[in-house]
Amino acid sequence: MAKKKDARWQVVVIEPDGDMQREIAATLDVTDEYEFLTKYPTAGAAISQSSVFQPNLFLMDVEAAENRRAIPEFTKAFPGTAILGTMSKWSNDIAMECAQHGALGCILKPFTGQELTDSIRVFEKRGTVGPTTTIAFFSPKGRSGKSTLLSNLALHLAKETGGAVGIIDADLQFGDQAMFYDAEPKYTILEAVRDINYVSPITLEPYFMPVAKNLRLLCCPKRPEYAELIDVASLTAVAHMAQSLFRYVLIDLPFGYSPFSVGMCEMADIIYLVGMMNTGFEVEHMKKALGIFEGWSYMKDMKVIFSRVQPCDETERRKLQKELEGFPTEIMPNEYLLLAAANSGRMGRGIKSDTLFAKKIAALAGEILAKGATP
Amino acid sequence: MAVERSSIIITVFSTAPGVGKTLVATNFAAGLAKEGYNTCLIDLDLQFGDVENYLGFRGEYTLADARQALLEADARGIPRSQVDMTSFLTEWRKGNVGFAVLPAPHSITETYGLESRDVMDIVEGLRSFEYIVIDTTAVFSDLNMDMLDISTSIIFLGIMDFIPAIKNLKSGYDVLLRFDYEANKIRLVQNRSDSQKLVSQREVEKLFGREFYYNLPNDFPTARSSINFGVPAVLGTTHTKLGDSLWDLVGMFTNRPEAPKETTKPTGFFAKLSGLFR
Repeated sequence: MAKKKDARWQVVVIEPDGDMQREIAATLDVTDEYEFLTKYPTAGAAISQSSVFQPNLFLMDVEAAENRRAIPEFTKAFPGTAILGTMSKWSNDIAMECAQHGALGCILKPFTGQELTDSIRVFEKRGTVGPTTTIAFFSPKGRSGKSTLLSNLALHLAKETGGAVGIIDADLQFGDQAMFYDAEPKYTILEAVRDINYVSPITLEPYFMPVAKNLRLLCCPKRPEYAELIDVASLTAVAHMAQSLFRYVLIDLPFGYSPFSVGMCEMADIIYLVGMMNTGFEVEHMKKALGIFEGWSYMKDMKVIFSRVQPCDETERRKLQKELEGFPTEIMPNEYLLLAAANSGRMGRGIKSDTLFAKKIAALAGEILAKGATP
Repeated sequence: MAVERSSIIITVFSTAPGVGKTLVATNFAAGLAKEGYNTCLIDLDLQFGDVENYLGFRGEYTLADARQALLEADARGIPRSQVDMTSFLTEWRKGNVGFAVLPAPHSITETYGLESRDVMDIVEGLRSFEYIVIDTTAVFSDLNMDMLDISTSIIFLGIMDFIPAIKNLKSGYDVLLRFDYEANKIRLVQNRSDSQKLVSQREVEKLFGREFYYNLPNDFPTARSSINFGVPAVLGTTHTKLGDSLWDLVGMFTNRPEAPKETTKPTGFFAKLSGLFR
C-alpha cells in the first residue's frame, strides 16, 4: 500500500471482529489524514508488536475490559501516542474509565472519516488527557450568588488551564447563565435530553453553545414550564456524556433539595454549597443543608461558600467555619462590577485579576486543579 | 341564615428569589391582624422557611405535625376534614395584635413525601380564618401552583434592579398568564422601588404590559431591624417608610376606609408668623 504523504495519523486498529476490522481499515484508507498500519484482535497482541510500525494513534476496542485496562501500559510503552476507544454502543462508564486510564476519548463504531476527525478535534480541545472534574453548585435558598460564582470559576478554568470547560445550566426553570453571556441558544437542555439516546459526545457538542474561549454552555430551557419535560435520568446521561467532551463540567442547580439537585450532586466530584450573607439566617440554613449531605463527605469534596461576606477576611471566615463545626468554609466578597457584568451580558469578559473576588476565584481554581492532578 | 363565608387567601409569590416574600408575608399577616381580622400565616418554604426567623419565635408544632395528623387519620379511616388543624398553630402576639402561624417543618427529612394534596387539606382545615396569608418559594412546583389556584389574590413580588431577575420575573409572569390565571388576581408589587436602577420603572412596566399595583420603598434599615427584632414593620412604634407603605398596601386588600389625612398643625416660626395674619 502506498504510504500517504500528508497523513497526520498512523493508525493501529485493535478490534476483535473481522468485519469491523475491515470496515475501519477501509474508512481509514479513504480518508487523507489517516494511514492504516495494521490490525490486531487484542490489546495484548498490539502492545507486543506495534512498535515495529511506529503508530501515533491506536483505535482500540474498549468494550473488552482487558483492552481498556491495558491503556496505562500503552501510554507507557508508546508515549505521545494517542489512544481512541471504540465502542458499538455508548457507555459513559466505559468512556470515563478510558479517560481515567489515559485515553484521548471514545467514539462509536462504525464511523466515517469525518466523524473520526471531528472526534479527535473535540478531544484534543478538551485539554490534557485525564479524567474530568465535575463540580455541582448547590444552594439551600435562591439568590445565593452561586451562578455568578460558577460563571467566574468556569471562565478562570477555561482561561488558565486551556482545557475545555462546559457549563450545564440545570437551574431548569430560571437559569441565568445564558443571560450572563448574552447568549441566544439554538439548543437547550430540553433538546439535549430529548436526543440523548441518539447522540455521541461529538454530536452532543453543538448543543453546548460557545460563550468564551474554551468555554461552552448548555442553556436551561427557554420556558419555565419546559422543566417538567426533563427527567433526572436523561439529564444525568447528558451530564455524563459531557464529561467526555470537557475537562471540567460545572453544573448550576435550582435551589433547595429536589431529585434534580441531589442527582446532579451525586455525579459530581466536588460540591459547593453556596449561600449569600444577608439576614444572618443563612448560616442556620447551611447547617440544615449540611445535615443532609453529611453521609457524602467521605466520597465527595464539599465546601461551603458564603458570598457577599463583609468584612471578607480570615477572621470572618474562621468564625463562619466554626459556626459550621469546622466544615470547610470559604468566603467571597461583594463585587459590584459583577452586578454590572451580569446586567449587561458581559460576564464572558471576566473581571480584573487584582480584585479580591478574582483572587478568591483563582484560589478555588487552584484547589480544583490540585484535585484533578491526584486521581 | 347568613351565607357561609370562606377565607380570603393571599399568596405571596415570585419567580425571582430573595425579593422579600417573607418580609411582605409577615407584614401582611401582622397588618391584617392589626386591622382586626382573624388571620393565619402559613410558611410554605418547606425546606428553608424563614417565617419563624423573621418573627423571632420557634413554634412547638409545624406543618410536618399537621401532616402527620392527616396521615394518622388516614390510617385510622377518619376523614381528613375531622382533624383539627388549628391545634398545630402558634399564636404570635405583640401588644394587642396577634395572629396564628403554621411554621414550615423544622427538618428537611420531614418534608420528604410531603405532597401538595396534604398541604391543600391543611389549608382547607384553616378556612375558619378570615385571612390566610401564604409564603412560598420562587419556583413553579405542584405545591405553589395549587396554592396559586386557591388564592383569592396573588402578590407577585419583584425587585427590578437586576436584569437576570427581571427576566425571571417576566418569564414567570408570562407562565401565569399562559396558565390562565386572571390578570386581575395577580398584583404586581415592586419591592425596593426607589433604589438605584439601570432600568426605569416605565420600561419594566412596558415589558410586563401593565403598571405595578404597588411600589414598596427601599428602606433597608427598617427591613433589617424589623427582622432582627422579630417584629413586622407595620407594627413599628414609629412611622417608617417601609412600615407605612406596607400598612397602606394591606389596606388595599381589605375594605379599610381611607384614613383621614393627618392634619399637621403648623408649628415653628413661620406658623406663628402666618397666624398673625388670620
